[in-house]
Amino acid sequence: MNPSTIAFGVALVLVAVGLIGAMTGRNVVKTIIGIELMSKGVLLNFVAGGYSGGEAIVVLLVLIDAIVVAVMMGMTVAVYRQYGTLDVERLGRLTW
Amino acid sequence: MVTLAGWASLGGVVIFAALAVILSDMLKSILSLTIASVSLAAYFYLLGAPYAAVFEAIVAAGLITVLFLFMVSLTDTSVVERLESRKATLVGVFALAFIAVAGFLWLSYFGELGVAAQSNFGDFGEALWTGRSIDVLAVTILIFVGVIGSMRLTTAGMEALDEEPETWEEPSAESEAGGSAGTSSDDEPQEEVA
Repeated sequence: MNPSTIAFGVALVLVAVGLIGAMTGRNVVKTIIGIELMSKGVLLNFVAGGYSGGEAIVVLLVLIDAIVVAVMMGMTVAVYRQYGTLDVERLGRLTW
Repeated sequence: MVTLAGWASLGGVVIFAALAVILSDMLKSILSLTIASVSLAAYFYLLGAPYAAVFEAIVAAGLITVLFLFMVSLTDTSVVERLESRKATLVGVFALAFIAVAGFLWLSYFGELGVAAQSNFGDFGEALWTGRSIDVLAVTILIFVGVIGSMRLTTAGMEALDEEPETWEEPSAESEAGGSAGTSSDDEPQEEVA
């Protein structure tokens, strides 16, 4: 089988695992870990595809990923200080 | 050409990504995410994208792991105690990982594994600084916004509200169902004020 095909499959698996983690995790940190895994799937897709300039896009996406995690970390700490918990079930004000 | 090392890297990514979601222990979950990032960086290198691999290893496996540990240590005091008690183990694990990556790179450069990455910095630099110059500018602005935002949000005196709302109940041991009580009482704020 073509190595790129397997890499695309792994990227899809990463996105699926991340989505499951983000949707089912009860802790906010688990949700962020799920989002991280989804972004890794996207990165793998760019590199395995061998697109022109794909490596530069991956570098920029990794930097954006770090910024997103930093801001989410700040929001998580602020939510914990305000509500005293990171359980998404108890943070029911923002869920549906 | 992806060799056996490439398949092992991909397998490591999938396995440790699944562990990061499955494990209930937050510290083990974060470390699994780190190992998945390192495996992904190794695969990038094997695919001939060494700059993406370096950024993935340094930023995703290094900086983001530190951010996650910082986040968990600020919200879960038991993690801080465990980090203190297992400091030597953690340092040993990271030292071993560093030695393993250095050995892998050394072997690949000297042809034992035959997987040295081939990349042209000219193409990469052209794509980054010329083709993506607007994106680089946007990321630079985002970095400043992210730094200022995260600093503001993690400030000790940060309060989301200037004064405590009358309907909000502080979570305590007695009121285990405090979250739902706080939510349901929002529907009738006027009656409570009156």
